[in-house]
Amino acid sequence: MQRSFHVHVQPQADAALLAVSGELDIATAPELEQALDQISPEQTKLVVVDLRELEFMDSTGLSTLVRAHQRLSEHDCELTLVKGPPQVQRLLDLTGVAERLRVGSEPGELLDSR
Amino acid sequence: MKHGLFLGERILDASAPEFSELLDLVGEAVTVRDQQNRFVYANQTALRQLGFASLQELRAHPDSSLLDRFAVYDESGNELERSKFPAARVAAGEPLPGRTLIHLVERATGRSDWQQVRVTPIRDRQGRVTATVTVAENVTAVRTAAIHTRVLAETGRMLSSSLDYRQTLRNVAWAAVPALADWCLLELANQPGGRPHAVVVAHGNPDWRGLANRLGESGSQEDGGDSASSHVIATGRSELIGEVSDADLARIARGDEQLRVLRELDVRSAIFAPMQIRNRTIGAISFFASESLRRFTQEDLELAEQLGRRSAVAVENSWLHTTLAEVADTLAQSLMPSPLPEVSGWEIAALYQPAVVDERIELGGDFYEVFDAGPASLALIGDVTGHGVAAATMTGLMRHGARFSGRLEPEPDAVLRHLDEELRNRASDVMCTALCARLGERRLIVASAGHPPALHVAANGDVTEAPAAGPLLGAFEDAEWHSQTLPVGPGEVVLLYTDGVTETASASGERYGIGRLRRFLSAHAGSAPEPLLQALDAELHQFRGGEPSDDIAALALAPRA
Repeated sequence: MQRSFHVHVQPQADAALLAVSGELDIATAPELEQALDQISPEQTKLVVVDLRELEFMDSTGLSTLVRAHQRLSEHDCELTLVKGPPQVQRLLDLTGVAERLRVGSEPGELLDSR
Repeated sequence: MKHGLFLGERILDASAPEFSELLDLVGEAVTVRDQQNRFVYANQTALRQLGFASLQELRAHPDSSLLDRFAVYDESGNELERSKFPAARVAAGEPLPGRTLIHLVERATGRSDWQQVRVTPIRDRQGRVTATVTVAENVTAVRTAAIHTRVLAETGRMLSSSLDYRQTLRNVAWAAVPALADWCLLELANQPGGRPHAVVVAHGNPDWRGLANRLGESGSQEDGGDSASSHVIATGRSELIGEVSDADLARIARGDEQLRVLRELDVRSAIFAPMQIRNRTIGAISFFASESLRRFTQEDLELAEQLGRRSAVAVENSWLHTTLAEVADTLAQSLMPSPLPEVSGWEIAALYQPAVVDERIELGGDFYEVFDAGPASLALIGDVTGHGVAAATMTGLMRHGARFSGRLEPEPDAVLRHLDEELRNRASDVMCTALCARLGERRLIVASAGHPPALHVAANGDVTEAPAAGPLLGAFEDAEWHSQTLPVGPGEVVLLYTDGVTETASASGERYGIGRLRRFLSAHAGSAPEPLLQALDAELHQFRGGEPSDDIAALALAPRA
């Protein structure tokens, strides 16, 4: 069973766009965590994690996003999400994350709101 | 006939100066033997090997005692009778392959030589063999290097093939026996620098294995005295005894029984090398030569030292692995769910399946707990994010925390609030989803913290979800949870589960999913908790086609009729 996961980081002026694809689970979450850790909250005001190409997310993947949100919000840096497929959205709804983080339908919408 | 040979038609005078001078220049040992297999000629190299100063001295020597001085083996180590020596076979008219590899050991000194031998018959006019010419090339260096390389290559492969250190050491011993030593003893110290105990005894000759094993056993039992291997373990220094005397035997042996066995095993030469890792000596490797008569050399010692270092690494790895595995197993046992209590008015069944990775149980974050909380009973199911010891210990905190807070305030939303505080106060990165249910009369009061909702299965097969979930535990400061009442009538059942159930993946990577779970429950409507979970377990097993790679927990609750 070969699962794939990729993070594509696109730095913007004072924002960062991370597009994730594949399966975000206990095996691949450290990769996302590493990418998120490299974002400096002093120089970045907005982080957009694009979940549209994600095929699956488990609770470890989710907690990686929540922890990044906790860390960044201490420096007034906002972590936002681009809505993913139904399974991913269900997990965000279920765990109350969708209520607390801004979720948009495409990156431009979130980036323009700065 | 003077000392000469028929070489076809010609008579070649072996004592002619130019002929012997020519042959004396070559590095190969050249000998000529007559029909009776007696030496009639040997060049300088051959004379040196045979231990004679001149051809005259060789010719004057009675032939039978000359050959008795050597033990001759074929390539696989089988001793050859004199009639099977290459020259004797050619003299007897047998055809011989172009080159034959033989191993010569001088009985008195144990000096060992590998020779590549080519024998050519000399025939008279009638075609009868009248003499044989043997050209022997000394290939000892090449051969020894080849054996050493092979032993190292074999042990390299074997050392990484097993995490059972006894098996690992057996592999080492059998890579060295019989190529390098006739037999071999591997001992480990009980503590650093402590007295060793035999772990493996390997003897190339099956007839001697019983005796060699006795050596290992007696060494472990007897406390009296020091031994060569315990000296090696104490000092970390290897020792080569090229020629073992009886005084050496007394020193090598640990006690009288060992000495008796060593004498009986006829030890001629020995090597003792430490099993060393980071300057710590954890054991010793001993090589012995007995019946092969060989004498160990400095090169053999170096190889033994190398094997000692490699074995030490393998042994330490397997020790670490065993220790870790034991800790994990003990921890896993203590983190296993408590037995389900009797709850009046309810029939309850549980399913818990830890993940199995590489045939080992892996600690996971799924948990459940059903407990009596004073006026009511509570059921809790949850999933701590992550795997391993950190996640598993947090499941313990959640279970015991719930029991404690349940007694203070036996309401599901209150239990979740307390667990959330507990998690956030720990300032750890751990988050947790959980669902808590209070078991009332024909109803459940449920609250969820980011956990998959309970599935209510009606008698007619309708499946509904409850409750609406609040945020997961340990994540947000402003979180709130609310309880919701879920009526459960006779013939109805409620399933609480972790996402391990719906995330079960098939061999092709497809997830079991909520859709399949709902259909499964619908098809099993009316089923009692115990058979329902058994059927679910079988269903998931079939779907994934093997052991779970993620842990799974589920509780089924049904009111008693």
